[in-house]
Amino acid sequence: MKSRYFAFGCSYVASRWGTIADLIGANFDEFYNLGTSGSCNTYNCSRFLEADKIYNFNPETDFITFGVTGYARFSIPDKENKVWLTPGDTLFLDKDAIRPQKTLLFARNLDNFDWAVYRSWCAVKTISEICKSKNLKHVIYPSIDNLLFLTDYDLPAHIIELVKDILDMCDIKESVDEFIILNKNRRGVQYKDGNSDCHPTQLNYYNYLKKHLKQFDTTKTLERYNYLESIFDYDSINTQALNFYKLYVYKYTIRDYKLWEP
Amino acid sequence: MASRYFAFGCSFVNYQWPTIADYIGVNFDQYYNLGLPGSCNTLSCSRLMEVDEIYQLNPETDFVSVGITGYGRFSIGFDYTKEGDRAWLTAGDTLVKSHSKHPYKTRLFAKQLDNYDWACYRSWVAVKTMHTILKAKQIKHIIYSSIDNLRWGLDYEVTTQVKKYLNLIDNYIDIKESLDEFSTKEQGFIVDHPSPRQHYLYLQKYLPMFDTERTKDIHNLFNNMFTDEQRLKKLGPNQEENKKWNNYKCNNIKDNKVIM
Repeated sequence: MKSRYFAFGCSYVASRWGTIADLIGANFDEFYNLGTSGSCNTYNCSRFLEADKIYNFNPETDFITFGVTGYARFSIPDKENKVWLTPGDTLFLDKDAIRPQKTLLFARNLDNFDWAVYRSWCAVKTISEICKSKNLKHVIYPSIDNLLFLTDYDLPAHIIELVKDILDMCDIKESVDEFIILNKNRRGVQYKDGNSDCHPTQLNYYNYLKKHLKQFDTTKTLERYNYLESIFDYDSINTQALNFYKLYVYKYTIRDYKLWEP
Repeated sequence: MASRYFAFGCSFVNYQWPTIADYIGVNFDQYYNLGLPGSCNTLSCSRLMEVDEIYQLNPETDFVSVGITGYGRFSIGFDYTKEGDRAWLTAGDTLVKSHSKHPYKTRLFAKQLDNYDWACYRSWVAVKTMHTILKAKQIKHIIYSSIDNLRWGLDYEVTTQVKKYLNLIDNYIDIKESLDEFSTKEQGFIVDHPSPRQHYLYLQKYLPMFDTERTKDIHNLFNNMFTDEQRLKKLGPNQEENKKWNNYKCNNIKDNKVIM
């Protein structure tokens, strides 16, 4: 039977260059990268359930990772344009911020910090419980640093408990964000065309994997890392994205997900 | 060990008169009613996760029922009440039965953000989650339809892919005929909320294992508590009935220690 790896999360999982999921993926026969840039935890939980329905997760062949993303998000399907709107954090934004109108409408009129934390707690708890009760090998880890919810927003005690509980449910406590800061690693890429991207670099992810996911610090992972570095185009953000898809994503990941799109 | 029963759903589970959950509840040492009038399936699912966290659901002592509610709903988290508290905003069917009396926030969501496809998708996710968790944890349970959702995919058009999701929801439901349809057929015309008697008839038909001596006794008690079914449905319970029913609930339904 072929080994399968399913990765869920935001742009820290699926981006325009290799992420931690892409490094782990080198160790499996089939790699399904179901991350979506800017998505919320509720969205990723729904994707997890869909993938379970389509691929029938089982303990013999499957490994799952869930990168917990920012709490201050809510993904909305845009039926008119047939896309999911996943613009990242919307609850923190100032009034002049530019985001899709529907997500701003939700954030400004309906959302609040308590509910945002609660939604993320439900999502993480659901994935954690299903993985545990189905005996699925899995790792839940924080991608984004959400610790400011403990300090900056004066949340009621029962919501603070939920923030702590989410962390308790994570198999790795240190987020990718914190890891980079605490280790004084440089993050982001400055392209020669003037564009920049502040996401963690491939090296950041590789170092995080070596510290927290040692079981995947293999020769295959190193080869994958070296390959991803070799195809990196520092000249242009657009060429990098194109190269990444052409030379990596279409070759090494499974693309036909059959998940619901608006 | 004390047997425990947890009921989830909308007003067809927790209402101003007895529901099917109250009939089932008398057969357990501890009965928790987590139903919230007007709530959506996502909220029922979230509450199930809360209950699992707090009460540590287990196969030895626990039984769970989930009454699937209307798909065209979206419960909004933690709105401020008139008293300054925070509470769920659960306004019922806001997408298909939009009403000017619905709270502003739920109307805004229904009008500006929601659509039939997403509403079905959300309900599928919720029902699939509850079914998967309960099955995987080997918790004895029953998932039944409270509200009639048969018009989804017909009057309320959805894409072919979402139609498949609608069919999948059916696979997770143990009792296909909804309480809604059952009561409407029994009465001969559309009813708003089934009467206590209709809840009992539904239990007799579909959950005969709970039609015990205790249930029959409680049915008699409820019959004495609510004597005029027609008036009850038309005008709601009177002061005396409210008092007796609240008193019954205080004595027989355990306080829910949910997080929110």
